[in-house]
Amino acid sequence: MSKTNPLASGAIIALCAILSACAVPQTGANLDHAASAIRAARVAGADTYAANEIQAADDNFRKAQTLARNNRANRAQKLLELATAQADLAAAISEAEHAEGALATLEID
Amino acid sequence: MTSRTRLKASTLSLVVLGALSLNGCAGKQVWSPELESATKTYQEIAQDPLVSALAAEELAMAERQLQRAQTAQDQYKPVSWVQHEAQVAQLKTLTAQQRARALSANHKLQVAMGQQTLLSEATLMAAAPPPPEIEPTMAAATPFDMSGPYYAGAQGDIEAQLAALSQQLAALQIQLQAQSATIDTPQTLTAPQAQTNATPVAPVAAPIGDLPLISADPAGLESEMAQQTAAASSTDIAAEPAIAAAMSVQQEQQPLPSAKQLHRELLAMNARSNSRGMALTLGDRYFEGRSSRLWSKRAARHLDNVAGFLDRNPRLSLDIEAHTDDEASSEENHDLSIDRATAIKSQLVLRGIEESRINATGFGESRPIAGNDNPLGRLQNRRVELIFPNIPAANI
Repeated sequence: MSKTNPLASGAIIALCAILSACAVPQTGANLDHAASAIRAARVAGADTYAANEIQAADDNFRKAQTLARNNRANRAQKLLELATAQADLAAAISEAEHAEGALATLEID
Repeated sequence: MTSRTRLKASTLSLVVLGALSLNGCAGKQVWSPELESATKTYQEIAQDPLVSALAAEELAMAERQLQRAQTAQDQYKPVSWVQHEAQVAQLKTLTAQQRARALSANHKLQVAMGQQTLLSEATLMAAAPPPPEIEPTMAAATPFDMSGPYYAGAQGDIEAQLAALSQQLAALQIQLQAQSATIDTPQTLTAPQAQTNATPVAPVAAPIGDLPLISADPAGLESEMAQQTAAASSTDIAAEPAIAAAMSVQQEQQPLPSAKQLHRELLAMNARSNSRGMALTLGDRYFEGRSSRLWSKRAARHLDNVAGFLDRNPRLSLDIEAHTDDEASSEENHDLSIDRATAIKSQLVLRGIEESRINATGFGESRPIAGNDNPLGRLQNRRVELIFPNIPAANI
């Protein structure tokens, strides 16, 4: 029977534990989700009604793409979450502005 | 070095490594201005009855996110972590506020245009500001106030209540007779309709009959009310087909709304002009993954709007055209697009729109509107377009 070094085994186990604790989540689905939210905001007219919010969402989305390419998935995921929330806000603002604009037009007519 | 010493050394190294790893994932709890700001924003916005009634779902999401931020702080997560969670919570809270604003404006728009509103009475009641308090003396004088003297149970009170009920019934009868007199009876009235008009008491009997009666149960009035309720029910049932027929004739005689009016309605639904007419685009987010299963909550508002619009404009038809990106095989994409178009059509048919008025088509990946070489382009290509071909495109 070959002798195994308990110190080495312990170190390997600990390393596995550390790696599993800091496991990186997949960003693919989050990328799709954020892109979808940005697209929805654009469809709602965010470029007109919520330019700052959609710009911020776009910026964060692009940064996240770069980070994901550079294997910094954790940071990328955070930025994608932020981009999604910003895009959702942009969409909501656009919907509100759009509806209020239509209401104002109707009242003027 | 003995095997026992080596074992001790390995155990010690494990403990040290474990402690180091735990330390690496932890930090000092610090005060986060972002969390405080997000909490304050949430508390302010959540108090608004308009937001809590119209955007309850979004507000609940914001609350959960805020809890995540709080938990992160409580668990001594790094400050950047807490800041991020708080920032997202704040954005979600603001989204809830804007969503409520949009719904409120859309509701006003629908009311202004005489459309059937999508918000329920209960939601509107909840969104309304609290009514001013009624002075105690006024409340006591209200005949149907359960806390008033009419429900005290004493004989004198019962008599007073009977008198009040009789008085109110008489007033309602007079009011109804006056209304009947002002309405011109059409020449083509059918027998049940004539019967309805000749029985003026019936419609008001139902609400009075539904009122909670007092414990002493005055038999005379109750039986009279029961008779009137029965009469109301029978006339209502008898009149139903005739009224439906009359409404149908009236609907057919209604002129087609002007293109401008139709454009306005579609504009309110976020529809846009394109080369084919007025079109509403449903993005990929309304479907669950790469499937034809609709996220019913997300799509419901759009589908309700479209169904309502088609219902109000029975001469209009709808083309549903679904498209995909080029990620799967052409056949798979074609099948998926057909399934998605059919899913939308089914939802509209379930909402009462005739099947023959809706044309559902799937084009697969054959009609892209953006490049399929990047995620955003592919996302733009995965779409369902609801096109109203009878309405020309407008320069709105």
